[in-house]
Amino acid sequence: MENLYIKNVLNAPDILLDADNHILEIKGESYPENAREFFSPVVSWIREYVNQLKDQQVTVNIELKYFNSSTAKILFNIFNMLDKEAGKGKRIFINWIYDKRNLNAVEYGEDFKEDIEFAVFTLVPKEYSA
Amino acid sequence: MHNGGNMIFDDEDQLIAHVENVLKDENHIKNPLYKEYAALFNGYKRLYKQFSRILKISDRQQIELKESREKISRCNYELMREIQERKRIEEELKLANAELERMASIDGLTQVANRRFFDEYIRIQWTSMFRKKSPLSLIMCDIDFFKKFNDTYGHAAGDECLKQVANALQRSVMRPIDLVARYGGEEFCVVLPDTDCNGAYFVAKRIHSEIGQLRLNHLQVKQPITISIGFSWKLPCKGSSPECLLAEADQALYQAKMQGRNRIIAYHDLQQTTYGIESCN
Repeated sequence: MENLYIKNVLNAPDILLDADNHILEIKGESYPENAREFFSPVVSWIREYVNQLKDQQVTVNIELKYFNSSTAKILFNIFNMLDKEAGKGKRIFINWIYDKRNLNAVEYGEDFKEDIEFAVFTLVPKEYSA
Repeated sequence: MHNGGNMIFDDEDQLIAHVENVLKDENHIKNPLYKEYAALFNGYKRLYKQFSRILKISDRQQIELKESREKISRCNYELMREIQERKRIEEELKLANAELERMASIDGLTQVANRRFFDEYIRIQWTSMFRKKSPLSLIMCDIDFFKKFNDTYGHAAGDECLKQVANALQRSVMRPIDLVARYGGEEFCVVLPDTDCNGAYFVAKRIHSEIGQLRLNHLQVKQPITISIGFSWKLPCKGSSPECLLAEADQALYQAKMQGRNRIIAYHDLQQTTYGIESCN
């Protein structure tokens, strides 16, 4: 399966979907003009990827400094999709990477975590320089 | 709750409670669309939950935004105050510096220019007159018998006398460019740019007349105060310095003293009428 990289789109996060190493990353700030349109290939890719997934361990890193409500809705969809697969026994580890100094950022992660039943969802504090 | 076949609920919770009850009813399980109905209902419940969470996240983001906006405006306000305070201090410093400058160039007792400022000023005017090809005049005055005055009436009266003389000199000059300075002790100088011998003589006479009107009765001083005046003028030329003008005015003043004080002597008159005096000095 081909990897999917999306970078340098205005107000959109960097997307690194690496099927070879089983690492899926969404990084940066996310408030694209049309979030559904932007994330549509991302969601499709992930759907296809998890369908063909066997017993490999998958790491999903979400590192968003800022995201809008449309992005939040799409994240819920992606997490639901991953959690459903985890429910079938696939080994999916989701890391919610947040700014250690931002007290709200950890709560955003907790909001997403509440929905997760089967995947391993970890809140990872990160120290940003300046 | 039934409204012409349409069911209307007060809120989502009421709708969910109602549908949950319907789904529990065993009679409905046989319904051919039961599975789709249940899936739709579960999808609805999930969407409703997500919607509530997104609202929560969005609310928190709004608070975050509001707080950072308030923080920025607070910082802005503090910065503005800091800038104003700095401006105020800068202004104060400027005033203090100007006052220091003034103090450094003013004679404390008489409030006319001091020797330091005079030296600088005559040099500047000398250069300026050289450029303009215009004459520069210098008047030198010395209070007559000042030492005796001090001994007789005391130092307080002496100081008062110096102040009065300085004031009289200041009253005698008309243009801002003219400078009255205390040259030292009881000696004063007046720098007159753009002034030839006629102009200088005119000012010298006015000084003499102003001094003549001085009375220090309140200090029990009976005798009138008099001064001796010597002046000279020059057209600055290349390679010359104001020292020669100073020397000439000083010589004229010396002559005024020698000839009995309380009089005006012009250096150029000295050259014609009392030729050979220089060798006596």
